[in-house]
Amino acid sequence: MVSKDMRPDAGRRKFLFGSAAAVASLAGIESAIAGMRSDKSVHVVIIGSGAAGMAIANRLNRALPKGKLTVIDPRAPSYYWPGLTLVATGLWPESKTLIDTADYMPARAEWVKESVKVIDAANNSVQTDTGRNIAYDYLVVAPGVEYDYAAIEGMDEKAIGTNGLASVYHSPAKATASWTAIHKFVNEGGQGIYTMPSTPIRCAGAPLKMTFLTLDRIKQAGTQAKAKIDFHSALGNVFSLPFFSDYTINRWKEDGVPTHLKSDLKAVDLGARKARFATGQGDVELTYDLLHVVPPMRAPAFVRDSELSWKEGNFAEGGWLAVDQGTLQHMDFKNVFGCGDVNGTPRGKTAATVKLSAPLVVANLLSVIEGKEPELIFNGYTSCPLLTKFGSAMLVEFDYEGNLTPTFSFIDPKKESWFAWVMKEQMLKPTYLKMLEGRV
Amino acid sequence: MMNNINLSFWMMIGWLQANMTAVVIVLVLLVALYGALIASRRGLFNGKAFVCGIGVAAVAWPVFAAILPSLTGSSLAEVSYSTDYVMLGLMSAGFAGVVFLLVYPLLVMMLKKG
Ligand SMILES: Cc1cc2nc3c(=O)[nH]c(=O)nc-3n(C[C@H](O)[C@H](O)[C@H](O)COP(=O)(O)OP(=O)(O)OC[C@H]3O[C@@H](n4cnc5c(N)ncnc54)[C@H](O)[C@@H]3O)c2cc1C
Repeated sequence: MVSKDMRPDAGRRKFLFGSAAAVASLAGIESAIAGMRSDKSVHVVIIGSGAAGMAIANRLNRALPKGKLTVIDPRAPSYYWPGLTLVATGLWPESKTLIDTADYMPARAEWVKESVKVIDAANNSVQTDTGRNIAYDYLVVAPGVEYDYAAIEGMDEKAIGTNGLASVYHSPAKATASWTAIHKFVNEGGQGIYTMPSTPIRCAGAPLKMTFLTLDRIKQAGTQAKAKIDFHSALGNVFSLPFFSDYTINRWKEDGVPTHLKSDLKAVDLGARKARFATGQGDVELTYDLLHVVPPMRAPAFVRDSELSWKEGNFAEGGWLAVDQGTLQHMDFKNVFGCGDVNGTPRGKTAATVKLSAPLVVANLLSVIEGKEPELIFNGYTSCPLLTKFGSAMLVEFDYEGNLTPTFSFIDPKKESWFAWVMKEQMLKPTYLKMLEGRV
Repeated sequence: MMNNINLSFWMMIGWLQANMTAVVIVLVLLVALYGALIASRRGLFNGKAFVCGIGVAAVAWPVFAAILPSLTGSSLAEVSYSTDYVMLGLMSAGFAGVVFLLVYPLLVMMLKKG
């Protein structure tokens, strides 16, 4: 069993930085790990070939020349999730968000196109949905999140895109379907309801982007008088950093969008277009013409139900992977690392987090393979290009503590800007693809 | 710092790959134009053509600055503070530079002829 109180002495470890860590703090992670490799003939199994799994597979492909790599993931093509907000608001075609997994899979890796069902960490083995057992020396867990649409009574994922129901998160196909529903609402008007759940979610800015961009579509269509949006957040804010939460709420107020805090979507009647919210004042039932649902999220079942998940503390409820938030090594199983959205760590469920943490996981894994302690400590870097309208964005980057950590100091995170938009619309996907190749 | 250099480098490579068709067209044009210039035996360097080329690029620069925001799904109105101005200036200067590279061999051949 894992509890947060049983964390290894992370504070002490910070003072035991080895040479790689020292270089990392001076010149950055890429310089620190550039020369790191191991000639050990070990078998590394990676669960998931999304952002985190693929980035790690490609880096290990170079750093572990005699090692055996197995990547397990049934999904092909894989998804460029950050593009979905642009698909669901009518800017991008769905095809721009589909990535041919085979183009990025290292030739040396064995790609098992099956789904992991069970992790038996005590016996260093995973079992897939075909019953196949795959033994490993080291395991990287990177299966992303599970959308828990079923937690909303009456919700039916298949209905997304019909009868005023939208949800950008589901998949590229459902993002396209969501645009059909949103487009209709923008033109015909009515009452729109946008939601945010109380669980940790991937890209916490996406529900805000959807609201901002829909508002912009309404302005473009000139239907402000008849199309009204309300935003319901199950939390006490709409973004974890107070400045950006307040900024967003005020911007929406100017555009006539009321924000309802601590208002949690509990049930929907899709036929009658009614949504029920749990609020401090009891349950409230509202009718809608458009409902944009952000599902509660949790770790995939095979992680949740395994001995690898948090059993106590903030991350136990979602069954998130119990890793040390600094080294990203599992709390109990030292040959197991986690990367990406599945990690039970504060804040960062973004591709930007993967960009910085994937090389760190590789470096720390190589240290462990070489019989050493993990040396590098992750600061929790995450980023959200908050799209405030078509053509303008705020590039918000921050760490575990909520400190702003802009990659390029000349970009002011607190300003809506064209260049931040260019970074999201033009540069993010090329950077993401380079991340999959293990280059950034 | 090193991280940023690495990131910027791969970002640019990635962006060029994402716009491969345009990149290939420009490269083919450059090879064809400079090939024609070399084949014409007129010499690669010509001060007058250089100055004229800079003039063309100087005209192209503000034109690119004016249209780049809309080419990126935005508008000039969203170019809002110093970083935006500088980045727009640099990016449009980059495109103006490509224009210079394309017109220079043409100018060398035309001016010599003239
Ligand atoms: C709408 C939206 C907008 C976003 N916008 C941004 C943004 O602007 N900027 C940003 O940085 N991030 C953004 N993100 C977040 C970003 O996409 C994720 O954080 C990132 O993809 C996480 O990578 P991952 O590898 O953990 O998960 P994924 O990329 O989802 O990969 C997980 C992989 O694991 C596989 N898998 C799952 N279960 C199993 C199993 N049982 N067996 C085997 N394989 C399995 C899946 O098939 C999948 O391929 C956004 C996400 C969404 C949904």
